[in-house]
Amino acid sequence: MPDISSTEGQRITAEAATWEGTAYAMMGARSVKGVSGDCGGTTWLIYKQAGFAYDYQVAGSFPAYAASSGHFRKLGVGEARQDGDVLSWSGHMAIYCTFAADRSHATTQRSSRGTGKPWTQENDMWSASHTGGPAYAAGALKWWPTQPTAVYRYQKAR
Amino acid sequence: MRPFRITPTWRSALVAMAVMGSSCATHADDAAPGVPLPPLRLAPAGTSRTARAALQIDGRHVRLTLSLEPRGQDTPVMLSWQSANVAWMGYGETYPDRQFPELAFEIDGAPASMASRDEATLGAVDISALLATAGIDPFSITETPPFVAPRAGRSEAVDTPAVKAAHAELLRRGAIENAKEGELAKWTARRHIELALAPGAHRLGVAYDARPAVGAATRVALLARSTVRRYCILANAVPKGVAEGGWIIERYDLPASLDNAAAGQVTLEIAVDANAEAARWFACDAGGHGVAVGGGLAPTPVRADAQGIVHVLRLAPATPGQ
Repeated sequence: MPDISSTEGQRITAEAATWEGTAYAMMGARSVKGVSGDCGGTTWLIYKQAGFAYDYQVAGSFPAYAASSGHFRKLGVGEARQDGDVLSWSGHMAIYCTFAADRSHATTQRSSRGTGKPWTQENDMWSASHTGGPAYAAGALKWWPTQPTAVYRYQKAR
Repeated sequence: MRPFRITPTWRSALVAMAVMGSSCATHADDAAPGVPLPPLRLAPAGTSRTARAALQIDGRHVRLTLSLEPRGQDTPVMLSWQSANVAWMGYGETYPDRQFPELAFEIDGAPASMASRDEATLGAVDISALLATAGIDPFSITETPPFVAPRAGRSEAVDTPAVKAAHAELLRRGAIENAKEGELAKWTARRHIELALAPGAHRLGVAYDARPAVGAATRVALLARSTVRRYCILANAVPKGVAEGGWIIERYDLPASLDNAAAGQVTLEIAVDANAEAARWFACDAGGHGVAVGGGLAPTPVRADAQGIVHVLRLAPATPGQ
């Protein structure tokens, strides 16, 4: 089955942007835009709303599902990512975004908690956070301690 | 809610429900491992015994009161505590502050005077003195990004030649990285605390915030044999709504002794949480029977494991922030 195009991927990232500010809560499939959600629930609902449905998965079960469902293809080592790809860790998942089509979210102005100095975060994903963490937002892979263990691209039905 | 007692009938029911649950589980996402308070140690070891321990939980705040009795010779002893070695953990970490900055002690009802010392290392090399001279907070690494931050109470404007030299040496060694966003801390750090106990019996108070393991609640997870054994889960106290998702489990491993020794009598008290009326707490009472309460729990004798740890599980609807 063919990959979705980068333009189709941008439908996913555009939908992800509408989840910005959704509080973190471990709601799973019961996540609700603008209310609360977690990584598996938000990713599933964003894909569904963008027209790329799959069965709800927690982060831990997503790789096995991706391998067996036919809905996703695991990118090869060194293969370029595109907007909308699923970034997968053992306990987390997020949506890759270049922000080429959405420059307003390409960077986030922050200030250091320790020094108060302002700094600019360069974003490359949309992500939920964790218990006690911030709301759904554009994020930077650089400030996660490890890179995703795998990246997946949605496959169009023939 | 009235405490329940587990019976053999319920044990059989739990096993049956665990089997049923495996085929109709609902899932939610994400999980955070807990960070139990590292053990409190005595030097010399074993010179006092914990006759009684009282645990109080109020939200995430935990207060442990240990009634200590000297063993044999009544000599002064030193109580010590050491955090894990903390490294930068990034945005994904729920509990980056594993040095327990809020940890406080009382001896016989009065705030204890304690010596607190931070130790920072780069690889195997101790850089604590360099950081101290440079006026840098060793626990800058608990922030994301780990921007190098001054110690509390120190102004960045105080740049003496010694401070500048220490800073330059930290850069040279790679302990500080100059990134485009700012200076980043690259070391690991741990916190040591010591306090002296005069000869005799004492009441030692320990106050801190628990960092429980958090995960999505499923009937499978709740009724797994190991979970039922550890927390004496009572199936009849598990709300039906759990099967529909949107609930979380918090697992608390609460030390109730010194030196990871077996505890004496331990009581558990839980303050009423008016904001989480639907929450349920589970623990094993002193006889190994299940205790399940909604709201609060009056001081109740509970079971500690062989290392003096009391295991408590909280089940609650997920709310924004959790």
